[in-house]
Amino acid sequence: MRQSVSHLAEHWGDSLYRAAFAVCRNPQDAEDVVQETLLAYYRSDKQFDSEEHIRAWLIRVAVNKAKNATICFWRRNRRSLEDYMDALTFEDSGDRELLDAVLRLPEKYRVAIHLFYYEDYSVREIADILDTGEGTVKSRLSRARKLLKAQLTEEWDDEQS
Amino acid sequence: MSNREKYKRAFQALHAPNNEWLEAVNMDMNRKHERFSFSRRAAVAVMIAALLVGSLTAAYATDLGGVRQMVTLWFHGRATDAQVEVYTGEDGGVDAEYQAEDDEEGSPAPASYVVTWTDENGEERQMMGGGVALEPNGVERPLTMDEYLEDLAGSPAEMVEVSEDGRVTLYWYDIAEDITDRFEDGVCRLTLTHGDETLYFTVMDEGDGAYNVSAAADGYAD
Repeated sequence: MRQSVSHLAEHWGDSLYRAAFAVCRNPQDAEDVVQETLLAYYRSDKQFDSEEHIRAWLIRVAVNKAKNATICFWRRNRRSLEDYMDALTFEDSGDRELLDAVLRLPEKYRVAIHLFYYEDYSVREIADILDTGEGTVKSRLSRARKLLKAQLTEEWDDEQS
Repeated sequence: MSNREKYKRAFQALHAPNNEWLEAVNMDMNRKHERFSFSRRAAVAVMIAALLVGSLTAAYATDLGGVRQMVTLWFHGRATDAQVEVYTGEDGGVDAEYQAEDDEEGSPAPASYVVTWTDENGEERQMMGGGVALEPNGVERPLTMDEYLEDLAGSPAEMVEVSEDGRVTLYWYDIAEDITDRFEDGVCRLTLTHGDETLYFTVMDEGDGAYNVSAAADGYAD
């Protein structure tokens, strides 16, 4: 099956943007990543089993493109992350702290933690998306949780790793 | 409230900006020439790919598990020799040494290639990164060496520089063009020639000191 790009943009645009931002930590790069991800879909002739299959493919492409974006050095003149964060409206005062804490994690931990907590993917699904082993994903999630707990203390509950 | 609920609530503060990127996608779909994508990064990468000096000398460093090459890059009008080490690890180019550092100290993501050069102040600078290419059918594969180098050529060159006194300079090869007073409605268009090569530059002032540069050999971007 295929879906129109406008349909995907409407349904998954914010989700792709958030995943990209979690990786590259730059709003303009995240915006580019969404655009390039949708273009990649448009240019692809791949057939999908379901909308969920499309979503997983888009997430995977977006994460990889966002990783690539982090190596570009020409972003020197970009708007700073702090300015961008200051302009956001958070529902709760702890939300900014949590977002800051996530963005301070090493990249590979950010990817795993975002796919798990925001996209609700299982360890196995994350391993498929990132083309890595389940053990690696479990390890990254465990370490990420510990780092978040260390930063957020009582705002982050202990969980079984 | 669970960690998951807190996490989702925090990230829901982020929104893709007003579907501007969707408009850009639609524009790109309608283009005749894909190589001049509206995407900022893609445009710059296409542009700077032309800056890579033609002849690359290669020296193999098997003890590093990869290939080492010397390339010439242009930084702000200055030709600079840079050393590139491309790693070819089993999992798509991750070097074990950087992986270990990442695991133990939380340093940035592991690298598939490392670029080292000396800047104008005599200080050694280094950057590292890696990536995959997406085939037209959606299948991913590790970047080839040529693609690494092309990507590399697009990475470090900061084409537009804003000085402390607000002057805006566009760099291309050894050309430094002051474009401060050449913007009309936030867009500057100019043609530069280097040797036999002529490019049409479009520089867009995006505010907050950010500039988007695109260039094409067959005319200005839309």
